[in-house]
Amino acid sequence: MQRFIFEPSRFLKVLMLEIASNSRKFLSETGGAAAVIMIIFILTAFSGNAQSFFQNSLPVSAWFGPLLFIGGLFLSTRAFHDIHQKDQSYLFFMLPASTLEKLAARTFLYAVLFPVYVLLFLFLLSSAASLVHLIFFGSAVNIVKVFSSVYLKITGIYIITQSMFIYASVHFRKNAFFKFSMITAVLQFAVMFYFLFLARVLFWEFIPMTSFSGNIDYLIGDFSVFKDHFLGWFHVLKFIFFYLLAPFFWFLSLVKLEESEV
Amino acid sequence: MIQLSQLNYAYPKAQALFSGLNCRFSQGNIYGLLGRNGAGKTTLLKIVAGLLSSDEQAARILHQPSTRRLPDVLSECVYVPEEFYTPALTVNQHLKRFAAFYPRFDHSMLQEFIREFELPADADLSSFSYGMKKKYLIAFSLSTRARILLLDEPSNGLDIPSKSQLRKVLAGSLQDDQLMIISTHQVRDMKNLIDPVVILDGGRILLNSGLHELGQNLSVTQSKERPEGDNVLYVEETFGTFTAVLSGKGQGECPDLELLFNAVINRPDYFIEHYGKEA
Repeated sequence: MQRFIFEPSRFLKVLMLEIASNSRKFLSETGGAAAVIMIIFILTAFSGNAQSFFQNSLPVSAWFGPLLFIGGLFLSTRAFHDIHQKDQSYLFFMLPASTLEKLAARTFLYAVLFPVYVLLFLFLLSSAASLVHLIFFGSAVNIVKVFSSVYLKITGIYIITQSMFIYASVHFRKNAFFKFSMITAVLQFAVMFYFLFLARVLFWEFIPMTSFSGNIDYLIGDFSVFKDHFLGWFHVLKFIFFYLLAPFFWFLSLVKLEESEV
Repeated sequence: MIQLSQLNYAYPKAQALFSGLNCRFSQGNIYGLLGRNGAGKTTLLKIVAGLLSSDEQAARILHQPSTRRLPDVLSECVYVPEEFYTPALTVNQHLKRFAAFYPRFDHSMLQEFIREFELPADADLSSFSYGMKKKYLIAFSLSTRARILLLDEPSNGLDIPSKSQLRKVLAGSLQDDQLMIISTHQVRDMKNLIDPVVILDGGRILLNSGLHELGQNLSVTQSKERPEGDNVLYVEETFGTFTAVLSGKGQGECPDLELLFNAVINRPDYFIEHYGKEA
């Protein structure tokens, strides 16, 4: 099928092109992130808490999650920024590769290579910090353990979440990150309140009732009575999140990209 | 190489731009696509390039629907738009990363064009002026040896020496298996280069003809008195001299393109009937 044209050698060419085109942007943003972390480090050092900054309260490794789930997701929503630009979009669409190869290359860059890059960055930063610590305090601090399984798990969850933000990048012309974050937050609340209301109306006899009021508290009851009934559903949701969500959004992005025009 | 059959196109919330447009572009030619502002020249190029969607069978390039944007077709079709973007790369980086997608890319040809256009051999593309970027992109697109080259206003933004360099480069680069479509307002810049000429107006192709054929059937006269008669297609007065485009046996030399364009716009039905056929 035309939609699934994929040639590994061409995918690699697109990937190399993406890396080359984004390297300057990545380097400047890395510099920015390093500067922020170092400013926090210096401010903490001046307040006399430099040791706790690295060893206990806020280790460098703890930046991995925030950098991925804030920085990475933000960058992901800009991954297809160019297709919405009048003077840039033709470059993407006229590049002799299939839409799948182009999508896969950008997804791979932001979903897989970016976490590796962040981990490497934190490793180097923690090594430098450890050296500074050794010079000023006479003892080294922990260096980020690159091969820890924790990072693998965080990266896995990031890749799944990121697929939605990649779709947002394809779909929205401007401010994709904020629009998508707002929409998901509103949807999340809407769905939550709908089901709470439904549970109140349909299963009121199972829930320890407070008297009816227009207040939002009325919806909040002790829902633990449903725990056993719905445990199976939680497994289904978990399965959907871990195995279906990302492919679904990747496919949606592919279809949207194929339909996109300049 | 390019076949447009019953092409319909309308921008959202706008009147139809093309309605049942038919046209064929054949290899070995440099087509001049002329038209007034808003006639749809750029839109037509974008449809051919697959950048705008039409009915799947309406626009076909190299026997494939252009809307599919197939990699093999894209490697044989290069589009240089009027408003373009150059990635944050040096010339060498750009060359290394982009040339790999074009199987017949000719590196020595590019070096020759870079010399001809007097461009720096390896500099940051972002440090180039608009004209330099345009010359580089044109040089790159010609060096791909792609079979279809779509150039939108290639001479816009170029200085006077660059325009003659451009003519020289374009004229010398076309091969028999290639096709070039140049959309332009600057007909004087493209003089002696484009042939055949396609004139687009009001969503219709008013003229699609080779210059030799036009030269055989049209003539130009100059007189102090305004010419009259059924064979007068267009008259232009300059400092008391009337220049007219007449139908009938010509001298074999095609009228000046600007004059021809005005004649076509002035008498669209005549030209559609005689020269609006598919190429």
